[in-house]
Amino acid sequence: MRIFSLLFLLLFALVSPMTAFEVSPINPNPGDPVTIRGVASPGEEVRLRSSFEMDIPVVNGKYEYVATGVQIPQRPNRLSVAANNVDDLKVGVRMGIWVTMPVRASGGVASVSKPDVPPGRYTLKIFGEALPGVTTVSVRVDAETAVRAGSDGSYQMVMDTSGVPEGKYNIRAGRDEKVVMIGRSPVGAGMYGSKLSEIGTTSPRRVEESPESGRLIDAGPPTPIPEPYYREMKRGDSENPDDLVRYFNAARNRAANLDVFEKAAFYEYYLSGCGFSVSFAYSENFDGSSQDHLWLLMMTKKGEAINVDPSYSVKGASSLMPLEPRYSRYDQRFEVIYEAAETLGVERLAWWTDEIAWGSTVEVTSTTGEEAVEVSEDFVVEKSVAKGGFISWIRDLLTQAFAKIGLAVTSQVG
Amino acid sequence: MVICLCLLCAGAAAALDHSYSNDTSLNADGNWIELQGENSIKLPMVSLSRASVNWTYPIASHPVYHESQMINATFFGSRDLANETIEVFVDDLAYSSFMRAVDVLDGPANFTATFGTFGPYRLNSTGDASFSLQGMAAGIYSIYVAFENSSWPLSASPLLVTETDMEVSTPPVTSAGDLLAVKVKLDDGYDGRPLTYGTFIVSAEDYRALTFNITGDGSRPGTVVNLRWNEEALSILGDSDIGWDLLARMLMIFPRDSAAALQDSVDGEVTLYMITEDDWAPGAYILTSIVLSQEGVVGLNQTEVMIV
Repeated sequence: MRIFSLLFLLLFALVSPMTAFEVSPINPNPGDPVTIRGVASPGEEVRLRSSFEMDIPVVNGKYEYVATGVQIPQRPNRLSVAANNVDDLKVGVRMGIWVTMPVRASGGVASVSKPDVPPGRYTLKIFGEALPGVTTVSVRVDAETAVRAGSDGSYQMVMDTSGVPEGKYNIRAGRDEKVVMIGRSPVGAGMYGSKLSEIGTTSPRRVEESPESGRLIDAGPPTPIPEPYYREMKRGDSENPDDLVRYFNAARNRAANLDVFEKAAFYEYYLSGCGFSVSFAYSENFDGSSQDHLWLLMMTKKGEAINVDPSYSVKGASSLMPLEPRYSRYDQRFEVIYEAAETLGVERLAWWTDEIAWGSTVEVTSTTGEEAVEVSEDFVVEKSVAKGGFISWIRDLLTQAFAKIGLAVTSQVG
Repeated sequence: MVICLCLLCAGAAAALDHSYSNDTSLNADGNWIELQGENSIKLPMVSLSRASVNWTYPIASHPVYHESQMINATFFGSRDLANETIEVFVDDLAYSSFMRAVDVLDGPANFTATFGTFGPYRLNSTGDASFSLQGMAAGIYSIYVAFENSSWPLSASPLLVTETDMEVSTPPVTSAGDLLAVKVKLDDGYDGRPLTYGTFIVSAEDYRALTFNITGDGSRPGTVVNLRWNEEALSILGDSDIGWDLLARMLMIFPRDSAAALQDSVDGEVTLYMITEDDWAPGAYILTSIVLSQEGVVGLNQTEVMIV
């Protein structure tokens, strides 16, 4: 997943050999935005490309790599994964539910390349069987996307590095190549945002000074907070924590691919819209972990603040409304998204860039089932389905299935 | 793929004529067609609620046939049809015609006996009659039952004939969090053609929780299919196109304890891997597998596995 993120994150321009670009900063801390700026012909579509390799340890003949929150940028795009020393390669994408796409291997090499991956934030899993006797599997990831230069020939793309492991990445634009070094030390750096499965694999070791991926979040300036942002939805009982839990569960699938900060922002939006009085709580050093954390506070009419952590399972908390002492301390409180974005940066909260979270018009019902809570599709800007992509594949299947009974299957061209 | 199945089920469920309510046979509403077969797909609860029409499909599963397999069925008519004579017609499954036949849409069904007329059959004293259809080529059909020499259907049912049988094997018991390997093997007929294999798993409890309620005004744009899956719900307008948006919306209401796998292959046998997660609820799960070609459905199978 990280791989994919990286791929996309790290941008890369490959347009004409004359294309020039710069990366700033070239040595960001994890979580810092990285901006790529370049110059091409006015209106030109600049193709950006990056790649990196890593070694994944083999345990009991298997290898596995999981990354959460990988953001796939706008189309056109292409994501490729190739693995060496493998008997097979499987790629799982969590799109609400897990969808697995096995890939055949030949001669110990397996690869998959998918164009026009639907933009959004996904969890990816790369796994399979290694060849007998090998201790590591080499995985190479390539990401490609494009950005259109403005009337003055300039273009810009911003990478979100939150959750991205430290490491060195090569970025190419045509014959020009630059390096982004995320974190202070590229050697021995840990993995961020990855979740390894029970088969016991450890973090991939980077090849040649640990090249790892960054996360490409978008082309152009940072994604702004949609306006208008807050909306009224079906009202819950704002004094009833049980009702909040029901609403939380009702939107659970929609938030499945969001990372911790995005999930907090998503639920702040959603629960506020449903009438709950919620605000953000931010800790710069949560529980002494040297990691910051963002969760919510639900205020009752009596002035009582109840902690609500949409990422409680990730943080090892006992429940959605954790009572652990570590939640009793926070450094800052933000009443609305705008305050949070001012301090934390809008990129860390931009759940609205996730197509699934925003979705199309999706009804989310409470367990009462009496009314629907509607999540607006106003901000869904990417609906295109280009030919040859994964979605096209699914669409083709649907076409086959329904064509004979008179149901249309559409292809929307973006 | 899963959506295909769901809508197929919806179509199957629509195969009930509400018009006769005096039947005392298996279902009080009467006038429905029950297909008999060994390879069956469990159906969700499907109901129609219109101002003047209400029915709930009473059959819990729907058989799938393979080519040349004899198709046995029974028409359970209302008691006031006792001793009447009916005929059975087989046509391509066309959305509008089928939905008109089951009163989801208004208007004449306009079906034709493209694939033959069978009968006449004389209904017994309770309005029932069994009949058999010769094996058919792979395809998706609709069976219509009408009075002899009439073109107004009493009932309709979808009929799916696949190219071949297929064998689906998987460990009978799998631990939550483990990969679930599903081997799908076609009996024959793949001939090196590019085929798409797909499989979908969901808990039996969640499977039973899926409901389709159809409402509307008799027009296609005015028809709404309301899907409810546990606490999740989704409404699909009758004139909706099947595209990514709809697919994405449907994925969002799928139960969390479910997964799918897809694979293209020119072989007649593939192994698909389903990703399960540690916190999946233990119990029985329904595994539905399908193989598609450019021409249609090559095979369809449903089996059960245990997650512990």
